[in-house]
Amino acid sequence: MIFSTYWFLAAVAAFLPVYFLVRSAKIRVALLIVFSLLFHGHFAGPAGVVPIIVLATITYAIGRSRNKAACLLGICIAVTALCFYKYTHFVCDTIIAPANPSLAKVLDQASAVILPASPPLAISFFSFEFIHYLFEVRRGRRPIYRLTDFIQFTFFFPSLVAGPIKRYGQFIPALKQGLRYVTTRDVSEGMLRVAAGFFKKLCLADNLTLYINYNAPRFPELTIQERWLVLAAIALRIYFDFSGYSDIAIGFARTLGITIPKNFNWPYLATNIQEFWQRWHISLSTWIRDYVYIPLGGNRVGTARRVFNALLAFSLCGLWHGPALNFLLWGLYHGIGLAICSTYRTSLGAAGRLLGGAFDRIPVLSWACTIMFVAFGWLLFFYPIPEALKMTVLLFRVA
Amino acid sequence: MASKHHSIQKNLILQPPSFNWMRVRLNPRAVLVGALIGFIVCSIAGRFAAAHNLYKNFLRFHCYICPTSLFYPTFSQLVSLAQDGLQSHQILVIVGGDSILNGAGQQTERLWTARLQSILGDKYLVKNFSFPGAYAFDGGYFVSEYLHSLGKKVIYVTDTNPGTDPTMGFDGIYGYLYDDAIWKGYLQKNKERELALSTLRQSYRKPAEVLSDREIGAWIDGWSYFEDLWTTVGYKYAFTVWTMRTPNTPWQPRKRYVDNLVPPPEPVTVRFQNSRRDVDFLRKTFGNFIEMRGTECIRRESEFKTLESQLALITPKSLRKDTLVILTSSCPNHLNLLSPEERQCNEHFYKDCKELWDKAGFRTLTYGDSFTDEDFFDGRHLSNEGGERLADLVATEVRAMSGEEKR
Repeated sequence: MIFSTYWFLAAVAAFLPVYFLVRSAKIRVALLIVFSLLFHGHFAGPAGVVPIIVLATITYAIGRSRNKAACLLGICIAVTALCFYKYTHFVCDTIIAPANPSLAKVLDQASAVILPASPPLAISFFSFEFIHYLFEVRRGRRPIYRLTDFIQFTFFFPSLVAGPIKRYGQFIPALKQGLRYVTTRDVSEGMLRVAAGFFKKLCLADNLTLYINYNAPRFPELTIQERWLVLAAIALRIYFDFSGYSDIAIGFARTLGITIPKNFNWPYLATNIQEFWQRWHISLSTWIRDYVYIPLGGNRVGTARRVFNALLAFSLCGLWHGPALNFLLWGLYHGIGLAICSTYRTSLGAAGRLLGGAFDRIPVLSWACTIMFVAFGWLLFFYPIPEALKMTVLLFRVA
Repeated sequence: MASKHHSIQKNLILQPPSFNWMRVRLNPRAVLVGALIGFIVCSIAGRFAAAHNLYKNFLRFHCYICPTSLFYPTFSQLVSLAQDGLQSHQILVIVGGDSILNGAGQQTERLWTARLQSILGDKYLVKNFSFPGAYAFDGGYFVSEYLHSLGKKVIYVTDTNPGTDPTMGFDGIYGYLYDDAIWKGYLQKNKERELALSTLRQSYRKPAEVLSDREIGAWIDGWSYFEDLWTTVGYKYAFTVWTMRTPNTPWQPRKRYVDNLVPPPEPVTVRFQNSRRDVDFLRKTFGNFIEMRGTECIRRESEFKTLESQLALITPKSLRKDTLVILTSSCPNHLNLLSPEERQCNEHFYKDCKELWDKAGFRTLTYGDSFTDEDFFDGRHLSNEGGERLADLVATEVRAMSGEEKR
């Protein structure tokens, strides 16, 4: 985790006092840009920085032009870059190889020559932010004219690695306010949030990771209670890890006087899947909603089409997490869950209404169903499909 | 009633706490000043902890107080431990090295260093700073070098497979102790060691940023002493990391764990049953240095040259006469599984390596010839009996090194 490296802690400890002491907004801008670029350069390396700079330059230039066709082209470039860097091997190995192994091998070897060993750092976040930006400009919203503003929107260091995925309409005003003045309340609340994030990540998530890494390989040997405990640990680990990371990002931004929206809102208290996705990785789920689901027709289309759109959107959401079949399946699993959740009351007739009524009256029941659904999903998320299925079966089999 | 019950339940289960009370009650300036004061207090507490010996009734770094269970003793703690109970007339015998000298295979009450202490008597103070998986010139060595620089009389006893790169200790699992010693000012960087370190890192092809990050951590710890504080808290009050060694009581302070994991040795007839891997390792080890051509053993000169150049880098020349290196060997059972030609090459390898170590100015000791299978707990580690015999041999050497008796 980048935020817990000594380099980051030492660098941010040197940067923050200077940022606070400088009162001029212009100098603060310069400081923030230099620090963000240093941060990105240090962790991404030249092979990771160059593609992002090229992509950012194209996006900025197209945005300024306000040309709708160019914006569409820019979106295509961002999507292509994301697919190229992140999904080339996946497409060759998983999609082309079963149909034509020799072609897949040739393509994979060719791409290995061009592609870096690993995708540029945070390419998914960069791409999603660029797509959002160009999409909004294409819709007619005012672009970012100032280069320094665009650089900060792109390279703002707290949210660079794991989000939240920013919206420039919210970020730029928040940034301007932060650059003008930082209050002691900003700093103290930001620091508390950072501390909470580190606690979640280092004390809770990392311990759970050790526990899971030790127990998962011996899952069949565990008692049934221990297996359920491992499942709970897996569910809590991903939450503490990811929300801890988001808290650190939001906390550091707040320390600079810049408010960025929260990314998690107690997702494990959700009483249905729809609500879960309103509380889990909010910046990603709203992005998918705004830039995939709604453009596909949203809720304006018929039930069948709506279900199909939800499945498609969630498949993309799954693949966004990583180029592997289990992520795709995890996305589909949630898509199906969401489709069932939004249609069962009508499609199941009286039984559906009865079930819906029971869930409304006994929220513990709906909460338990939701948490179970989500927890089983994490098995798909973390383990290869056969292993995940085996683990699921073992959860119900007494040793 | 039902709706009231419903709403209460809903409030209990579904409403996330807002933490608004924190926002209302916390004075921002107080929070910041508090954080600063807290940091300074922790740093002072860390320095205080570093200056006092943490490990009471210490015998060895067993698995609950060493990095294999994610417990990382600091260099300051090793220094405090080394000096604890040391009187001005005493010669300090620091034992470094790996699990063989750590006594894996020996029960606490029959640990070889305890016997060494009883043989040597009050004129010496023996401290076992060996760790499982450590190299010959690891944490314990750096403590002895530091105490040498303070003018203390220190003898360093360590062990190694004769052909192992002796510079490995600067950057292994315990390499953090080297960085710790440098950044806390106990040791000065020297040209030879830095050269060894950079060569080693290049050979590993380790990513530069990982290494520099560990160094930055050691630099921060050099003035904040947070590792000392954290380790002290973990040892005395509560540990904060779950480990597979402590699955059921991860939060228990490490001082409560008893060093009792060594099982009683199995009968010799079954003790060496799974020896194939060990024997293959043995073949590989001497095979790196000696090539077998029919019945002939041919030296690989380049390997010996490399070892010679590595030996020149590990420690200042002035300390070598006070360093006893035990060149460990396998049990007779394993050696007997080699062909006569292989055995001959293995002996050739030991003899030639020993010559190199001697030539570099170290005092060396080999024990392979005189030990029987009863002396081994497994292929390489010594049993209670073997430990006692080793203690006798080492005691003679240590006395000779201190000028007490002739070799």
